[in-house]
Amino acid sequence: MNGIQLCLVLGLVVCSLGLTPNTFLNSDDFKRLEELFQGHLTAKKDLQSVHYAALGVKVIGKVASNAQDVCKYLKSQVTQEPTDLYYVAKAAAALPGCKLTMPADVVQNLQKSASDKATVSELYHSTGALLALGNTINSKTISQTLQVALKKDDSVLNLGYAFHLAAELDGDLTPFLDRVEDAVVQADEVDHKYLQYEGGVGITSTVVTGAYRLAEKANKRPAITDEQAVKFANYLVNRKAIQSVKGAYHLVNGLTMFCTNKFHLPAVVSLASSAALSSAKPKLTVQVTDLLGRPLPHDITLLAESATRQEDDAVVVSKSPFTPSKSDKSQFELDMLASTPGRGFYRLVVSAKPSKPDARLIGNTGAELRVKVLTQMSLENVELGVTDSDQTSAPRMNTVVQHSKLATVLEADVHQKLVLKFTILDKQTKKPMRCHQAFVRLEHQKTGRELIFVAEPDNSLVYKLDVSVDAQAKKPGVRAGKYAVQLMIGDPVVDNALAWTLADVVLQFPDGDKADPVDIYAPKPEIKHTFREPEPRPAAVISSVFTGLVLAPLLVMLILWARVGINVRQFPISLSAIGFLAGIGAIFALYVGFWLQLNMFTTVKYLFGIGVVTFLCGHDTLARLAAKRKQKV
Amino acid sequence: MLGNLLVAGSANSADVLREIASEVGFELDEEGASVIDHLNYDVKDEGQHTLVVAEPENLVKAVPIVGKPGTAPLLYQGTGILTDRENPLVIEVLTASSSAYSYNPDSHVTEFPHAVGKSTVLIAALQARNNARVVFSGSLDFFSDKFFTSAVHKAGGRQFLKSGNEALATALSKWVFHETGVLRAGNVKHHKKGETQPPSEYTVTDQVVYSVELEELIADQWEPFTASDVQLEFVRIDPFVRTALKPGPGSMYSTEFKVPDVYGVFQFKLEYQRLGYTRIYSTTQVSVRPLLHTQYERFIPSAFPYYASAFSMMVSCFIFSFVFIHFKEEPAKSKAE
Repeated sequence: MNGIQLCLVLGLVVCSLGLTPNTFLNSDDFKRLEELFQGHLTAKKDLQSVHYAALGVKVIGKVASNAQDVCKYLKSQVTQEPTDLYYVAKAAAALPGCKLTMPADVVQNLQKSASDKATVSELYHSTGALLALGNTINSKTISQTLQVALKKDDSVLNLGYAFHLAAELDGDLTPFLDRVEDAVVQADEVDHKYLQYEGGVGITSTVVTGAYRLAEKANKRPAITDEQAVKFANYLVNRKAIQSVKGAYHLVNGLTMFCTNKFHLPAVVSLASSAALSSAKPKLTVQVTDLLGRPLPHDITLLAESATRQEDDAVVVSKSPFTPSKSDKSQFELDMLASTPGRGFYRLVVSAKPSKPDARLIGNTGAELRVKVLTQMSLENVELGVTDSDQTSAPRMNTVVQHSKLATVLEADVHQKLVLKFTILDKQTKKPMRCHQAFVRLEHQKTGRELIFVAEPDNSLVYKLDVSVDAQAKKPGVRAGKYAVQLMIGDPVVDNALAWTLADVVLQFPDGDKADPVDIYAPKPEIKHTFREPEPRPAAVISSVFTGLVLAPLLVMLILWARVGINVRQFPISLSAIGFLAGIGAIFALYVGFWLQLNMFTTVKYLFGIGVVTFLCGHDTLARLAAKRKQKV
Repeated sequence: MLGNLLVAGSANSADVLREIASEVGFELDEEGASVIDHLNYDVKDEGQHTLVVAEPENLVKAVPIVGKPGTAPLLYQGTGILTDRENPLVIEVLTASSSAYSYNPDSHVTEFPHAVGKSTVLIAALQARNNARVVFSGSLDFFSDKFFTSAVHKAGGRQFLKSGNEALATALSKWVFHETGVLRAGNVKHHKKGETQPPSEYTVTDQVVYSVELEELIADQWEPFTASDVQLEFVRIDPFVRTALKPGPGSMYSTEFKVPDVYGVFQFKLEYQRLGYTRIYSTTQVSVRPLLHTQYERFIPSAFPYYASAFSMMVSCFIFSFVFIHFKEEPAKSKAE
């Protein structure tokens, strides 16, 4: 048969590319997808999400938990819009016992928009809605309209819609079937592994499922090669973690199509056990299923074509058959460690051969799996010591047994260095081995700051490390003090990677002024302004005493006058004398006022007035007094 | 606030990503280098121990950036990021554990890895001085649906049904696009104690009251921001006073202090910069003048002798001149008699 020949030819190609989907929708994925769909059916956020959720639930073979509720919701969403009607009708058809009765004008409108000069998308939606509502369509006119619409715009998505629509039509489908190749060549290839369309899962799934539906209707192979089919399937199944409801529906729909169509059935060869093999778990279990995780329809035999070590291309297994698992029909086991392959990564090429030749089966030969064989390692001859940097004295080394800690605390100063030596032994071969990670970590016990060094092996695979204390002291941020010495050994093929604290060491060097970096996010210290101190003043007693002393002369004068018996009998009772006296008093009173309250200008103003009066009065008074005195004489 | 970036690289990042990274203070490890951790890897790892399980304890302690800390570990597969420790604006959002390192898993370790131990940064962030934010992840897969929905089962450790990736990615994207950790200051008021309006100028040693409103953007709404470490500075080139602003009521923060006895042009400076929040910077300029001649102290006790001498002089002058002018000499004879 032609198909088998094609398969054989492709088998070689596939072998070199290692092209077989290596993952499928497992029970967890189904559970998650169902939760996603049911969640959207419960939330009923918008018509589109309900539509996809209802279809998705049906595709994965489950029933909507609230079908009646959703049905009611769908009935409330009926509009004149063909796209909305399509969503409603399709979703209702997917729900059990949800019968829609449409008003006649709605159906008429749909028929009108399906036969008009519609775009592909409009045509697809309105025809889809009509069919889902149980109406008949005129294949011939729709076929013509569709061809006209495709001429206007034949984008990939439109081609996908056209395939789906054409699959519903009767008559000559070749004009559409011929476009499949057109659509397929437009797909982008990624990493030689995936074929996809820009736009993601939705458009890819729409085109591929449309092509298969159309081909089945026309009963003719679609122009999709086996390799392309595998790449499409590979792309879809690798997007299984998709979280949008639309994408999830398209994903399950696409994958289901790949499992049920008459032309291609991609096989999935995946590891059911861990990819890491060790003496404790020597059996490799491989699972051969379809994309939905179901066993393939035929009994198959699984053959390990070869197992090649990646490091040196040594072939350790060739043409050895897997034994079918007793518990699961789709699982096969192989004891890979039987041939003592040694540690490392292996490229395992397996082929699944069906008991009956099946042209549909693709991707079943030359599936490549990556496995690794683990080993255990042990640390031997671990020696740690402190020696002078200038190598004048022989180093004094302390041997440490694995998983123990050196009892003495080592000390090293700037003139010394820390020396560590060890060998890593492969427990199986008892030979020294090289590990990817052989680091020594010094952790400051107070700050937790770590210093990491890489130990490098010499030609005899003895790891050695010198840590000069002086060099460390010069590094910024490195502090003196007690450090824990930790050995970290790890490798992808080592089962017992470890981090082992083997000793404490005190590094002694002057810390100097190594300031911690400033944390710009911390609050700053408070600042309080220091006010100037007032000048010291003498005590109140002193100023009171001096006030008394200052007032004393006036008092003394008054007392003495009182003793002497002073008289002012010469005071003439006249207006000018009283005015003069009052004037002088007022001037002094004005001065007091000036001191307490007034400013200079008002004072001068008042003083002018008072001064004139006082002058006149004074002149008159004094003149009289002088005249009187003259008279007397 | 434009120019926010959320960038994810991988073990094979393009040069343009490296250039962007170096522009914002990070460096992606060499081509082909992956973060490897032989002690903290997930069981789904494909063999190289590059599917690293990062513990939530290694997240930066800043709720606005990483959200409320969860317990679920994070899955990470990608290259390591090197940060400049001297750059104070760089935030190490997620670091690897001590046993991790970044190196090409397919070649022997012959050179010192660029990133080892805790200094291997998995997700780094930067908030520039203009509040633009950048988040850089060395793993594109970190943000994938696959990692979001995946369980985490550290080899030899506990199993978690769902990784913390989705929660962290959501928090990070909210932060980087200014949906969380955004503060604003407004309604700055200052006046002398006992008054309500700001004066044209302050006098030294005035008691001044300053208040400001701080708000945080929470779910697109401005809500009062609560913190106890907001500080106000009173600055003339150097700060003369730095004091805490007390919160409440509502979004109000206020404090009261005495203007220093130094005059000149001062600023009320509110600068609030905390990890994960936008920087608040608000200055209000005021002038402070010395005392007027009428504002000094009167009637100082020490000066009483001077006052007394002046007044006694005036009183004496008045009495003495009165007596001197109008004194009538008694006839001397009577005395002799």
